[in-house]
Amino acid sequence: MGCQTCTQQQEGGSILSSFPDKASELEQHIDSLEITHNISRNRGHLIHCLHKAQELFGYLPEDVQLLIAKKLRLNLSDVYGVISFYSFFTTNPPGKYKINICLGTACFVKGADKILKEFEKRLGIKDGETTEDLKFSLGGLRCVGACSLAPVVIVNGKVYAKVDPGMVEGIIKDCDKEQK
Amino acid sequence: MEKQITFTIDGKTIKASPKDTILTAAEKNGIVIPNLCYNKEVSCTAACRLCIVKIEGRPGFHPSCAMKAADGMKVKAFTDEIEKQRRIILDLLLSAHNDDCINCKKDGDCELQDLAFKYNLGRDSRDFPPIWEQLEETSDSTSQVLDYDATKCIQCQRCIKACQEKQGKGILTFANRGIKTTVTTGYPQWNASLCDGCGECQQACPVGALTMKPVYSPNNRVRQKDIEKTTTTTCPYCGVGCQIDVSTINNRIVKVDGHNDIPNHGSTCVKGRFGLDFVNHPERLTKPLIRKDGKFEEAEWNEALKYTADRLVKIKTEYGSNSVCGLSSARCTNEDNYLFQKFMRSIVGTNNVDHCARL
Amino acid sequence: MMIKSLQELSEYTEELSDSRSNTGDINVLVSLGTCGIAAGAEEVHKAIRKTINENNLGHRFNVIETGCMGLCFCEPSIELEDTKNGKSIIFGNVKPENSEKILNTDFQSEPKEIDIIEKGWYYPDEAENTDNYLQAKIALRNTGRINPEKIDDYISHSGYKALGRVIQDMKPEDVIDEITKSGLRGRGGGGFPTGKKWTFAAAQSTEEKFVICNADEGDPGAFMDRAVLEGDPHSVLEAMTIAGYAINATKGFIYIRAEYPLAIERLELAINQSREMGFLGKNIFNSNFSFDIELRFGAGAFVCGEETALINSIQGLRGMPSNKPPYPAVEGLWQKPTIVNNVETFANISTIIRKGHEWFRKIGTEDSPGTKVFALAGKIQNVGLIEVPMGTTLKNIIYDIGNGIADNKKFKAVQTGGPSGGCITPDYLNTPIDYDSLKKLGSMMGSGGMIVMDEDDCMVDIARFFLDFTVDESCGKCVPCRIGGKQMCGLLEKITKGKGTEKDLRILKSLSETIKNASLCGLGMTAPNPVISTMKYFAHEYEEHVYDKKCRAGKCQELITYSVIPDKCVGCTACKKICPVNCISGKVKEPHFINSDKCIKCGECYRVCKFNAISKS
Ligand SMILES: Cc1cc2nc3c(=O)[nH]c(=O)nc-3n(C[C@H](O)[C@H](O)[C@H](O)COP(=O)(O)O)c2cc1C
Ligand code: SF4
Ligand code: SF4
Ligand code: SF4
Ligand code: FES
Repeated sequence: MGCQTCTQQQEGGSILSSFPDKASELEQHIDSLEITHNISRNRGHLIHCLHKAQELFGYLPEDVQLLIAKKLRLNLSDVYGVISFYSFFTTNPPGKYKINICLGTACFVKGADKILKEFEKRLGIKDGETTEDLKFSLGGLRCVGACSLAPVVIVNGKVYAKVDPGMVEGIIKDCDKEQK
Repeated sequence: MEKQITFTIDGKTIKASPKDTILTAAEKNGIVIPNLCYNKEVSCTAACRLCIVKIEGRPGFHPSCAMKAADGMKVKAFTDEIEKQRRIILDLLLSAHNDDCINCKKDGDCELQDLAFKYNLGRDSRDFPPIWEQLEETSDSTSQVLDYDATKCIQCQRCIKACQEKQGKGILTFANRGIKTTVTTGYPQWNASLCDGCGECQQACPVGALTMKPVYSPNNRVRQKDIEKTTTTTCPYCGVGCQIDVSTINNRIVKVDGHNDIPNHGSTCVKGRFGLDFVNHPERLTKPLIRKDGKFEEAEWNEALKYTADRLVKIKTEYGSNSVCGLSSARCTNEDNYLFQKFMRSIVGTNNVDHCARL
Repeated sequence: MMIKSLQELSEYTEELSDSRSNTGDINVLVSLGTCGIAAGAEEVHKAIRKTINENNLGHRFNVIETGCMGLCFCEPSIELEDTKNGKSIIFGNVKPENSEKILNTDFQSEPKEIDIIEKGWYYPDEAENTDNYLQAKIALRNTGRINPEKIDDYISHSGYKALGRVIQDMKPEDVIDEITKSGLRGRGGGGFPTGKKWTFAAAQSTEEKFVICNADEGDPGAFMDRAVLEGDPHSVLEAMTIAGYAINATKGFIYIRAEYPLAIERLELAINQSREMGFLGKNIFNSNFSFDIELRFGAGAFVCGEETALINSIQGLRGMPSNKPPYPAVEGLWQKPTIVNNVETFANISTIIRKGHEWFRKIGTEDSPGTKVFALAGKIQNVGLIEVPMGTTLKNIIYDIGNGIADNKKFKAVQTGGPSGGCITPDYLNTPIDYDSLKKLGSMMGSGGMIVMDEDDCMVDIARFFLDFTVDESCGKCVPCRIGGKQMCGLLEKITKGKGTEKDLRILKSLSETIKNASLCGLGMTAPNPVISTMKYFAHEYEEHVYDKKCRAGKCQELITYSVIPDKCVGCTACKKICPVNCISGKVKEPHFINSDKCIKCGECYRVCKFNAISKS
């Protein structure tokens, strides 16, 4: 037994050593927080730190989790338990184009489910998955608050309004175009 | 004396301490309100909702494990309505639980099985189709001493709380949320975590989800009902003197549990629980050895004791008391250790006495 | 600069109005909320600015970038307001090329090609309702009228006056008394009296206490709180500080969804501005009272809107609720007394303090005074954000404010309260809505989502949609919600697939009861509401699915049969080509035929037929 943290980090090729700038930015950020002797108060910074880390790395692989755990003096279980609870956090690298379909009630009654299915069909992945080439990830969102434009699809922040299944192909093509 | 409170459960008068919950007060008065997530050793979770009761004057149902009993309360615990809800809750639990009891180490020693039996919830009498197979939960048997079978887990949090609150380790947590919730150490595999294998968690588990690996009888799985004899004794490992329940079949140890008494209140460490395999080990010394001509030879106790006494007397007279040093073992009881230092001081006449205590 | 007294505040306010007279008399309000921006408001904004600059109209017009005015159905929208005579006009669906025409308005005639939108509301804190408007804006009094990024705009609309008054002239118990007497009830869903909550917290004698603003707005289909935070962040900060003073807390947290980046940005800005002017921080208004506010972010968990889960989340834990009692007002954040209030609840506070409880009680009903903001969406003409006095009827909302059902369809039901609420049928449209009447109908006020449904919506499917949501969002702590929700969803799915039985309906009923009775938190307790209410009001639809294997809305795929109407079919073969399982036969220019045994009901043929020759039943 034992923690084996060190061996694991060597094995996977640490994301921290691949991106030393980001790693040190994260460390500095955590160091700038008010860390006291009161462990349960320190824990209050956890979700904030995870947001910061995901912003930097795009996702939260194990060595990033370990770094945060160490800095906040928590167990990895505390960190992982929280990550896996909240759907905003992911432990897998996301696709280049994040296609999010609003599945809020207003969009649903206007047919958002059909749009999701169409995307699933065209990209060959399911809700919450990423294509193998890491190009697209597909996700449902709960109400983005643009109900008047329902149904809504958001690709990397760009809003497509009043989408119907026929527009799906075009949206995917838009991403291709952008890449060129 | 502490003030007592009086209230009623289904018309029966109950006397309890103000610290009692409805559940504990009932228990002390011989009324067992069904429960699964309740574990008196750890804080209240109120997750299984089997212990719900009604309280006159308060709308809705309340978990009796979380509600403090109060003077004059009128509690209903076993009306048809409540029992119906309990039955549905159990039915739900069973639908998400791998009910292959035949192949379960906890068969006959499982709180869920007992309740299912009591509420007559055989497979044919259930309303809900089994869904546990669709859930694709992640089990983990990489620990050297534990098995976690997610298909049997009822998410009661008893293990998580036992590790955190009794052992102070906080190794365990839930992964995911909702119907996908499982127990995890946060590492991809249990054996990568900081778990030291004390087994507190599996002792808290009411079902067959977290169980001990059969370290004492690797080739022969053992259920509670196979056990012939359980002996309460003192753990031989260290000076704390934990009380343990040693279960045996055919005079061989098959399992060790923490015994709920002073000083350990049911807990043990990994050695106490999983390290007693030396008892039946073929290489275990069962007789004293005396080195003769550079080789160890078996001797009788009388001979060995006499030999030791003679040598001690000789050394003491030739070289003085302080030429002798005594080193005692942490595996001895407190009393033995006391006697040993007394012997060294008053008989041998030296303060050169120490203790390994570093196991 | 720091404001140290009410006196200084009113002097500063006067300075502001003096400096304003240098700019134009006509305010041009451009809605730049999330949905406005999505509809292209930024381009319109640029065009307006450009027109003003190019024509040197700066002396006449004063462009104000505001939050959402609530007119989502006609974004981008622009309001022109003549500050001299109070006249105003609203333009909807504005395009950048319209800017010149808009700026040339005479406040009366309708320029061609631009929609004029009727203003349906008044501001009770400023005027009487002389025109019998249906909407009254209290919580949204500044949203859409001021620039949320400028604290001066807020101050010139009586901002921070209530805070000054509270600190200089009122004792904490007077503040609580005022709120209690106003009868304000929590707008986050439960409707718990706010004054009572504050009283509990104030009665605790611990040194440390907390004020939390619940801005987690997770109800899918609701965006009221976002509008307030984006459009008028200072009103929430001011109210939280008042609450802090009332219960003797020194620290506040706003728990906000990470999905609201614009709101977060504006709140951060507002907090800094407020600190700079001394409305937050040490010795506010030169008193002994100090208070500060920090943001905390959610991370995509609906259950974290539940107050105990929210508290756990702020503590850096998994957002699982705890059993109550103890209530947060007694034992909350880090075991200290904590009040948790909704954004909209807070948005009412400072006006109540300024105008008094008697004024507030004149609006709304006896048991539910004041107004409520609703996010009106779904199959309705005028989707948007509305604020109406409690007691307004659903009919008024749907037909008068919402302008009826879209696309000339038949109204079927309105869903309030999101996943915790229920559906209300046409028969009950005259019910005046408040907390208690909605509860009686088996629905809920909830946080204010209001989704209108028409004949194309299948009620079983809607129930399944909401259950799907709760299953996804259940924290998994307690058994009835975790497994019961999943089983319930399974039963509904079975029914929508035409495989339901009579026994399933029975089980569904008793399971709903158990989940409602035995769950730990509000999410589970209310999760069956969509099922219970649709089973009550639309029992026939359930029965049709189960016994006749029919879905009258044509929504449940497995229950639909597609067939060709021979008279209409021209034999263009479009359907034949698209059918993925090749079950359509027929020659060119002859009526086609669908083999319904092979059909997988994908609906592709229905979609591609240009001659409406495929029927769906
Ligand atoms: C599942 C669930 C979700 C909730 N979501 C929200 C929410 O998004 N916003 C909110 O203000 N209150 C929400 N609430 C209500 C809060 O628990 C709490 O009652 C409220 O914030 C109290 O504020 P109020 O008294 O001002 O309404 C939710 C409750 C439950 C059970
Ligand atoms: S064996 Fe002990 S340390 Fe390991 S998880 Fe269980 S309780 Fe925690
Ligand atoms: S492993 Fe056992 S104790 Fe732990 S949550 Fe599952 S059922 Fe409960
Ligand atoms: S009712 Fe649902 S969300 Fe609430 S505690 Fe239970 S499982 Fe969690
Ligand atoms: S024992 Fe009370 S809820 Fe589980």
